[in-house]
Amino acid sequence: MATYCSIQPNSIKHNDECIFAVRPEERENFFLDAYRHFGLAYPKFHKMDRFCQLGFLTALPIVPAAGKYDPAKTGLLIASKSGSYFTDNHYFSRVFAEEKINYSPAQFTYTLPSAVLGELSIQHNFQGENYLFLQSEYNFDLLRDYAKSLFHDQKLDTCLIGWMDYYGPDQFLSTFLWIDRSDLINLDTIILNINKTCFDYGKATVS
Amino acid sequence: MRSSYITAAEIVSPLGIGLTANFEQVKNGASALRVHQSKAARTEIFCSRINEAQEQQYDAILATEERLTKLEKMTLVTAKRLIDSTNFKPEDSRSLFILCTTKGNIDLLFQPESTIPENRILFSESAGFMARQLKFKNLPIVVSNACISGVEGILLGRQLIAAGVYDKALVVAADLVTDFTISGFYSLKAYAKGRCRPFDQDRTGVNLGECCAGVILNHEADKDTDMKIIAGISSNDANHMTAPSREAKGLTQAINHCLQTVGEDKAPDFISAHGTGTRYNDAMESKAFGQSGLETVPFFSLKGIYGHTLGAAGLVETVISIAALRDNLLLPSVGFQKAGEDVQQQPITQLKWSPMRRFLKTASGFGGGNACLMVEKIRA
Repeated sequence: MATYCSIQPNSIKHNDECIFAVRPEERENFFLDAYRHFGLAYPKFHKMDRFCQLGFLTALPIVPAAGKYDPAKTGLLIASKSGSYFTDNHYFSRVFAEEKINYSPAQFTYTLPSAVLGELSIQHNFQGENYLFLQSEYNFDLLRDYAKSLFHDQKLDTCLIGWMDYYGPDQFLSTFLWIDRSDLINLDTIILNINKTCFDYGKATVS
Repeated sequence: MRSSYITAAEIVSPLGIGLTANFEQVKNGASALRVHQSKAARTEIFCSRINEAQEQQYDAILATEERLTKLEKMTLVTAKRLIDSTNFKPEDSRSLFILCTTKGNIDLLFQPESTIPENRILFSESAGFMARQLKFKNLPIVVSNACISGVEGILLGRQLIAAGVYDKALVVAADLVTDFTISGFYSLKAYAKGRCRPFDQDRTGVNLGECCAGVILNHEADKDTDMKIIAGISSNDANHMTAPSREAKGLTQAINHCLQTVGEDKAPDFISAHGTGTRYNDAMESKAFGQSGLETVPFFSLKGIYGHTLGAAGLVETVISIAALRDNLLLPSVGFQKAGEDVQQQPITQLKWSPMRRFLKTASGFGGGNACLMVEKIRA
């Protein structure tokens, strides 16, 4: 059964329910506050860049417990426009340009937009097909077409597909969807509904 | 399932423009690796770079008023050669452009003097610009999955053609050598002292390289088509961000998938390995070959010739391997001298003629990604 999670500045939505929200003036540490709110204990979270933290928080509510999916047949397809743009700038201005001799290896790793694939795969033991696409506008067409064809070829049984962007503390968006084979027949409708609710949802603020 | 034929293959590298020119150099034992003074490494390192004279050659070929980055020039020259040598029509609604890159136009970062629009630092914007230059109607797709990007780009095109979403795909991969990327590999202590030595007992790391290569995939064969993709898949180790699985789990899984797909009678005649020259990667790959029952299959790494070209590597090496398969030549693994304890099999050391039908291409990268594909020669 398809389930989705969407994060926009101020709020996290799981299926049709808001599971975390803050006032705009309080969102400086939005990801960290969410992490604490959910009572998480995953120390690696604090080492991740913002792009990976966003992916981490979006995947969390929708990935079933270990044992409920076959890791070797679980795929991870993520699309983005921003990719690692924010982290590249950070690495360049804070780490690289200062001409330190010991650049932090961890920080460089996060300048790869695909670092989020690695982090999510390690956390959830996803071992199947894994892709990071960069596209010019928010859409699920490629994710849908590609996931469908991988299911069709028996390469996958379950898959996390999603769109995510991170440009800065006030500008980010993610929508992840967990699907299995039984969702394929309704996938177009599911995606249409998510697109609708996610875009409307972003306009509502917490009073 | 619809097939994917490779109807054209091209490369633009420091060794020259075009697959024929490059393969001549490869056969002659050339290497594009040169000494380079890097601010980021604080020492002399080896890498393979495209020089200013070569960039001017690209300008002359492209003859455009548009301002282009180095990566865009390499990509457009490669794309133009691919399109001109076939009946591929970018403007067709069934044609797709896939760009594979790890860091794209990273040299545009913090370049206030640059006259190139700033948004072209975004991979999708640079790819969109190039797609318009090439007259594509469909929006392009960029694949960026570190060092497996090139192989994954081919697999994406193949899969979308098989599913009937597109009929043809132009898949091009490119990456640059910049202080940005050198700093990263240096910080990870993964940069070689001297020349890289894939699979050698004394290997110390990578040499980075810049290069561009591409293929055209088509659901139908042209009259001269001689190559077809017969299997491919990606996987993830789900183990570590920068080190491969010690058990070579992900790569073994991907190779086994390919071997099972094609069947026992279609075993590869050679393996075009990733072979970066780092201790962990090469030992892991050697282990995966053994675990997949391929311990006696000849293999080589091309990193000693082109360096590690990051997201381009998988495509660069597929293209050179296509030329090798076409000419029935096993290529030497440049830089290898002596096998060590952690690499059980010895790569090819001498150029050798041998009748061949198919090869396996492997790739592994940061983030735990692995990808492989198999190419078959459909006529002698």
